Amino acid sequence: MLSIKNLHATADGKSILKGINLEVPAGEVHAIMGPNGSGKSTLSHVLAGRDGYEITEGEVIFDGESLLEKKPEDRARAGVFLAFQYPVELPGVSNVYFLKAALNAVRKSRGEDPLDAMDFMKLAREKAKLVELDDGLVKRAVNAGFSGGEKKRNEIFQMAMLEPKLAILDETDSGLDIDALATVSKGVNALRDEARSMLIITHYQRLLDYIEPDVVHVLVNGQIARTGDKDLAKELEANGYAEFTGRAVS
Amino acid sequence: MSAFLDSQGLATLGTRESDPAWLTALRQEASAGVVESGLPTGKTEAWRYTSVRALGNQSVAAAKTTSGNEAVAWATELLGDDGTLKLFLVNGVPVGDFASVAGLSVSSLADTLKDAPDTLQGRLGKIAHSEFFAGINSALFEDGLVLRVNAKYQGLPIHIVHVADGNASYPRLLVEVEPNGNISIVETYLSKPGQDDVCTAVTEVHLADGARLEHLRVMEGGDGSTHLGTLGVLQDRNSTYTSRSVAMGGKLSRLEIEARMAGPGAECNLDGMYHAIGSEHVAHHTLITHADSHGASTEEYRGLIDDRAHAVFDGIIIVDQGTKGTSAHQQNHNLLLSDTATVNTKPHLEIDSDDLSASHGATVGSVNPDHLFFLRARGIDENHARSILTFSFVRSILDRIEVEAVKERLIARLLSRLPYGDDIAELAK
Ligand SMILES: Nc1ncnc2c1ncn2[C@@H]1O[C@H](COP(=O)(O)OP(=O)(O)OP(=O)(O)O)[C@@H](O)[C@H]1O
Ligand SMILES: [Mg+2]
Repeated sequence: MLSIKNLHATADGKSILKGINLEVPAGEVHAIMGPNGSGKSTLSHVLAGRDGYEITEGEVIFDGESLLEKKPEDRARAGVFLAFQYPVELPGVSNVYFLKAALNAVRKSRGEDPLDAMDFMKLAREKAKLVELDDGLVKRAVNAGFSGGEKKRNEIFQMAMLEPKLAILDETDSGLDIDALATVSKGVNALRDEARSMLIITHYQRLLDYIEPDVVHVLVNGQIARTGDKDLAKELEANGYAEFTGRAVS
Repeated sequence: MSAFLDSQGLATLGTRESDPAWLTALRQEASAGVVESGLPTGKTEAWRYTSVRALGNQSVAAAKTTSGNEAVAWATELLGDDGTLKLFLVNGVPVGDFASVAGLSVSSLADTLKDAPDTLQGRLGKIAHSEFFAGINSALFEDGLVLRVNAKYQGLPIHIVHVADGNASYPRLLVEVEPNGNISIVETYLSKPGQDDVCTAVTEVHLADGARLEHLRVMEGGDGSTHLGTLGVLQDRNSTYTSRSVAMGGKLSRLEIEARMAGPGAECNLDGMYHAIGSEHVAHHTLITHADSHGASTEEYRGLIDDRAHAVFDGIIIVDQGTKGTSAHQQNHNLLLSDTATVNTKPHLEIDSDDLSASHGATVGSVNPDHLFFLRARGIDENHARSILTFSFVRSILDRIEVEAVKERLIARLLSRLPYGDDIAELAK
């Protein structure tokens, strides 16, 4: 599904990704852990097509096609979804309008007919239930005045609506209380599918208790330092990253 | 042909045999002020960014209206049925008869000056005075409208439609909202397409104790139109005045607002939305004076500036010495849609009191790249995403417009002027 080969990226002249190699087959869930500043969000942005990064080496193949030349909207339509670490607030733009525009753009590229208002609302209600996102929030402006946890639920709600092939979740667990973590994880698990891959960026083992990954990668200083199974996350939780960064935890 | 600054021209045009003595004095004072100060230049702070040099050779002779009916038909068609009581002025002269309704009296300014001039003395020309073009209007106006609203009025919103049909016009409007009167007034300034016209308009508003006025003022000139507007507001105790200025169209559209909160507990809200494209120039100059205690003023102007257009915001709030419990907040936000668009913004507070909460701020920026990326990352086209963000930048101002059908028409007009505006018709609902 996703194949990253020797990916190097810089921003503002600073080298951030320094040769990433990663294979995520269809249907698998991979976790990426790593210290602050190691390049996790950068990787997610580069995959989603954000401006401001220069790819100096390497390639990314998604679903058999090279991804890096594509515009962000074309990547989304091809099935890439990024749940943002810091979702933006858009006062004046209702969630309903925004999501309908997004969904119909994606549907159009798949050769499907746009959903009318009624079918859309029906689908939205059903998917909002999945992450227990309040109906009122669905109708409000995108993330405007939402709590941190509500914003994260809204991201997963969008994912549920758009049904991507590859979902990249950047610290979706941060800002969630214990119950919300369980709810959101349940929502994500419901979206696990043999045709859908996930890349889950997190700092905490706790999330991976809920969403069990097939593979865990450790990203340190712009490179994958180690790859293992879900027990690797437990080991990191116990020992920290000292082994990789060369810094002892006092 | 008399030009703007020809004192003789002003004097001859400005003399009306039928004027009461106080008005003759007012006109003479206005002409003298205009001649003395001369056409404003960039050396005057309020005109630093707005050039009116081109007006130097313009004729001041008011366009003569043979029959306003054709202009009224044109404007009626353009504005549609918007659930208001419409009053038309063509080149500043009322067209048609006005039926009186309980609590509302409407009369032409010329008739009022003939029949009951005393009712105007001390108000007309005494609320809006400071500005050059207000002086020109005072010297030259021939007619206009007088509206009186008392607490009994519960009728429709009033829509005063000004149509410029010719070279120059001097619309004059006086609104008196009597104690506890409450009304919504829309003023729309239109000009017939394909003409170079100069509309020098003055509106004076007096709100008595406990009165409330929601006043939407729309500048919607054609490509060759120049609009030089002055709006004077005088507020008594516990009155609430809300001005919403919408500017969409016109070669040059400038509005100067001077609001004086003269009684305690007054509330003054000035909002504005402007969209300037091509080489349009739009300027708002506001002055709010907190002359008494416990007044609350807010100002929020939001603008979109595209192409080579130029927008100016210059806001001053004065809080007089000895006043207490004042709240004054002023904001101006601008979204630049092209590299060649220009904004000059100057929010400003002059405070002579220490018992108050006040703030002011201004921003000028482009579309937020994080917001743009978010929408695109969900599959929305870049152009579509831009128009979503552009529209949502100003929509809060338009959403506040009280008269639903007028709001909808203005939103539709904005969408028709925005690139890819069609794409977001549903968002605007
Ligand atoms: N536009 C940029 N210009 C310069 N440096 C940048 C830019 N974007 C990111 N960086 C730097 O790149 C490094 C990696 O940032 P990134 O956000 O990818 O880290 P992260 O692994 O997601 O960290 P965290 O766990 O704190 O979210 C950081 O040192 C950051 O300051
Ligand atoms: Mg990060």
